Amino acid sequence: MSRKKLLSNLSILSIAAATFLFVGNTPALAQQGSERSQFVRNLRLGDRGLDVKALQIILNSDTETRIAPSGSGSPGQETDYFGQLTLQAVIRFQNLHKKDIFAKAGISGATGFVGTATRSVLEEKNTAVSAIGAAPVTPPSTAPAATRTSQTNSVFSPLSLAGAPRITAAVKQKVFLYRALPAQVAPKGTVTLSGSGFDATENTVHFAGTAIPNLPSADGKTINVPLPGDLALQKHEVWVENKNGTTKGSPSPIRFLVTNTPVDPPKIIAVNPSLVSIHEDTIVITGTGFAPAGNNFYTSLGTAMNLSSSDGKTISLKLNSLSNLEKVKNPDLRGITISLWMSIQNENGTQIDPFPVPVTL
Amino acid sequence: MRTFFSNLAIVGASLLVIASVIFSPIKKAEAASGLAFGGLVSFVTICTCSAAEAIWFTPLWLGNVPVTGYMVYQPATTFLYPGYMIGVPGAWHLGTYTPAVQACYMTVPDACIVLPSYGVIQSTGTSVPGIE
Repeated sequence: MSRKKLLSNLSILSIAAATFLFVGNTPALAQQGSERSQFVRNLRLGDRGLDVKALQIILNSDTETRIAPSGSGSPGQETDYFGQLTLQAVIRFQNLHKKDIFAKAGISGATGFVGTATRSVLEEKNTAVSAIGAAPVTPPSTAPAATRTSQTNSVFSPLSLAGAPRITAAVKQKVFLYRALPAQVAPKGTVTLSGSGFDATENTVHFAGTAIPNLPSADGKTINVPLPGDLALQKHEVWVENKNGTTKGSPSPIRFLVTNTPVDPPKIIAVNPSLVSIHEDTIVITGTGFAPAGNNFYTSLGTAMNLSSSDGKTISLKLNSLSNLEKVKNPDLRGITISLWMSIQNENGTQIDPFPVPVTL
Repeated sequence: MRTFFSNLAIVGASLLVIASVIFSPIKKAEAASGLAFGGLVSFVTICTCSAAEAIWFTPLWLGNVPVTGYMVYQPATTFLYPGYMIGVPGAWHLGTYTPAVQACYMTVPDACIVLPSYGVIQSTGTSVPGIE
């Protein structure tokens, strides 16, 4: 090993050691740190990094500061590059928060430079944005998560997705909506909205030009919405508004379909073979509600889109069509079984809780 | 081959540090505030519905047996130590995480679905990939 390489490896190790010794022995500081922002540097035009991507995610959480409506930089397609679109979005952000930024930064107009003052406001907004979706489930065992035995010892097996997620993040909550169930409902039926940041008594639910005020949420995570009988038989986008904010304009619109003939969403029941090798060519997925075409699978390792089912009960999926499959192959992990989480979406709706497929590496 | 052995040495030495922290009396007293993890980033998935990123580690060390899977980076709750290369493929990460918290949601038509992970990263330091 060359002297240069040895030194670089030693520097990596020293960072690692310092990190762990610091984290392990100063809980108060670590806890304090966990509530701070990831913006540890100023950001400007031309910068690259995941903090730039985080900046874009925060800017995209507000329609007024969205980087772009579609394509690169748009919600879900954030990049690590601080380009002109990001610059313009930061300027809009600074103008929106001029009272908090201009005087503190000593500027009279927006500059697009993300300095201390802008970072401070971003931190507040970041805290609100990040409060969404923190959903603890049944705590996993702290025992070793996998073994090299033939026994199925799933990476994710200790996790239970049963029950409504709950929010525990000790940060300011922003109202967040992630599903409406059932996805298909008859007129005069009831839709249950799931999310977080719901008020105990005063939530206004909007859909189809209608606003139903003062809907309660006993747990802060679900709202039952009774539907009027005169709703048009079509899909309706729904959003929630309360003192915490609104879900209107979310990059992930939530909708339900009003129909006289509602059907259940697709559901995966089993996979053949029951224990899949990562080197398997094709697996057969069995379930209900599969469409003749247009079945889309969302998995831990990538998506498989527009698959067909001739009988409505089975679908063949080529494992190597999952874009990240090759990246988890590692000779050092041979024999370990992981869970490949899988949800199906088609014209009948979406399987909300993913199905774990055991895969042996 | 030299690279392999040098990386192995890094992992081994790092695990010693992890073990000393995990099994120290101080760490046991803090167990409720976070568990130790270490791993090498394979790829990142954007949580399009919940303003977070799911980072897949191969391998991922949570105990004495390597595994592989997602940890979630949540900007406001994850504290970063140098070298700030979180989620960069090829970067080693060492830190603490909160187990059994699902914070990654993916956008699908008309709804969002959860992308299961081991938990949310509380704090992490990283190596700088590509240093030779």
